[in-house]
Amino acid sequence: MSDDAQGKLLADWLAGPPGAPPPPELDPAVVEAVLALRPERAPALRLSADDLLADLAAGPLVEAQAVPAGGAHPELPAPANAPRWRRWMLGAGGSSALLVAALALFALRLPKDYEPPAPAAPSAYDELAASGPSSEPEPEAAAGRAPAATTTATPTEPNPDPSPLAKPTVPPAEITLTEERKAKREDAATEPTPTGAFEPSQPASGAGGLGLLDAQRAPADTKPLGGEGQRRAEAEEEARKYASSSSSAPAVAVATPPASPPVSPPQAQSPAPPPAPAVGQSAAGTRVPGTARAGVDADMSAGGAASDDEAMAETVATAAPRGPRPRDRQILGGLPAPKASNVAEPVAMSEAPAPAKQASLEDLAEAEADDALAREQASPDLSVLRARAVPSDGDPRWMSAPAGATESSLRAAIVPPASTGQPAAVTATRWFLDRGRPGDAASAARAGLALGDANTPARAWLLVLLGDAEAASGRPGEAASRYRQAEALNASR
Amino acid sequence: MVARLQRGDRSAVAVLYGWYGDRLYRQAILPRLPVPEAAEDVLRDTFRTVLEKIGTFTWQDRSVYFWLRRVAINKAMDAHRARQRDQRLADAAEREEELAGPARAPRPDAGLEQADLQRMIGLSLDKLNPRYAEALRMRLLEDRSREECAAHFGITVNNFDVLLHRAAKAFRENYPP
Repeated sequence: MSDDAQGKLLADWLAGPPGAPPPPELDPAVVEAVLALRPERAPALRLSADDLLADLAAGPLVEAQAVPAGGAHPELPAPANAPRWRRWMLGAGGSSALLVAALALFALRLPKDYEPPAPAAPSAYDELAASGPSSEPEPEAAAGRAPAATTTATPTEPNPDPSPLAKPTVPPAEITLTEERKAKREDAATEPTPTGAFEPSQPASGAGGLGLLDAQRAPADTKPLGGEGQRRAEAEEEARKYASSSSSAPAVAVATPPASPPVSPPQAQSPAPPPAPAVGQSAAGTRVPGTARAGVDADMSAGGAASDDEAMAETVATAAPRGPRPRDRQILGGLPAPKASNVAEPVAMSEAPAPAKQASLEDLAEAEADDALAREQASPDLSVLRARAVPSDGDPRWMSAPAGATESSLRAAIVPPASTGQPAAVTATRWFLDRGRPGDAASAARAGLALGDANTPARAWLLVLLGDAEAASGRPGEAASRYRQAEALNASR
Repeated sequence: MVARLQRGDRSAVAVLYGWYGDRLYRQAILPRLPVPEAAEDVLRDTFRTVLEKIGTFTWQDRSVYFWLRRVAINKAMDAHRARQRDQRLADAAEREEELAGPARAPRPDAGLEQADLQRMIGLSLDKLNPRYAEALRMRLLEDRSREECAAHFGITVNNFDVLLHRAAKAFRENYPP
């Protein structure tokens, strides 16, 4: 298009009201320049406070979010996180996470010279319990961060850490087993503790599971196992030991959600519910893939989730849809990649109820998907909801646009203050709905809602019309939600 | 307001958004990322970040708006980098941000964005052909009519439209400075 034509388009656009959309043929660079110099010419915001709340996945404001019974798990990252994750990794956040991970790895090398404490000495686990409940969720702690005892999988403690970071496990080829550990495992497997509970005095890197770091260090007394088949057999043997020990000793709720205080030894020794299957076992106790590495998981968790940096938690939570990192893939070898829901565990540890541990995270994700589908398919009686939502104190004049009104003039009227902008938004929304344009109607309604949150008839009408637009767009669930919001406003006005 | 948010009062979100949403969008984000869809994404992301971390906000004798604004600017910069893949522009914008540090604002709630944006725009206009810069100033900043602008330049209105179009394209290439 020639500069003459472009100039004409620009002049026409500038002659229109603020908020009018630019002609599609106009050079985007020119549009951007004008918006930079005259940002009020940009279209009205289409975001509402409800949209913002719907985005939240953490923080105090998310706790009030309704979670359908037996359904959604707010810790699962929203797909909308993905672009942010990419930006985050490209920006300073990515380097911060790498730095934190490097520090964590460095810190984990320190226990190389670790001296196991005397049994009478308070363990790191005791220190954790003595530190009292944290005011903020600390999913990393539950995922096996600092207190080494919590990450040590003893035979009486079948994989306390269902953290997804712990799930990527050492392939059998990397497993080495010290004679001492083997002996301790066998002893413990055949001689369960008197209480059948967690032994907090277990040394940090002692009889626990086989860690990646252990495998890498391979002290002199370790004996690399033979061929692949033998290593697999060893690993499966260990899994059987864990399974048997878990049936004789209940799983210890080391990974207790932070809603409850950290588990103290007396809690661990209290009468326990029926033994919860360890991660890696199905609810029925049958072995599922990954069980053979149950003993490895806990130590892996120490290496995989050792950072208490907030950014790291965010990294983990937002990285969920991306699957394992290249290094994890290497470690995982031929294992099936963990599902996306697995990797969001730090948040799950902070918010999910305790019974969630009894099912695998894959099950939870599938259940959630089923519930979401069921909710989508459940078509509420919209007509009833709408009838209850319509405010009785609206102004009928809002429903009809003035003669000669155009799309741009209607949009341009949706501006502060809310006392005039929201009625104008009602008019515009209705106008779009009458013309079979639910998308534009929803946009206008959201723009009006964003102008203010006062409980007015206009706001209630906007919610009703937004519900109409959602229903017309084939989203009955959203429509019902809007109608209910309007009804609540009417009831409290 | 912050206390309500920290207590988990979700109704306060609408109030906060009503106070600052449009202002952030038009004054902090759009001038740096003048693509409405991308700017809305940045705004949404900004509020998500701030609301998720509202528990960590500590009162420092400044409005929460400045926290929002800082987050929004950072995210707009990130988005700008992702879109343009132009490190030079982003670095220049960051340098400009450093120059505009909070100490330069005599009052935290008085015209920070205006001064900020005016300087950014001034820097970019200074790099343009003076004729282009004048056209943009008159038509877009001073909001003078096409006819008046054309008379000022001694050209026809149609020619002024072309001049303005070319000036806007040139401006975009230099903005953010």
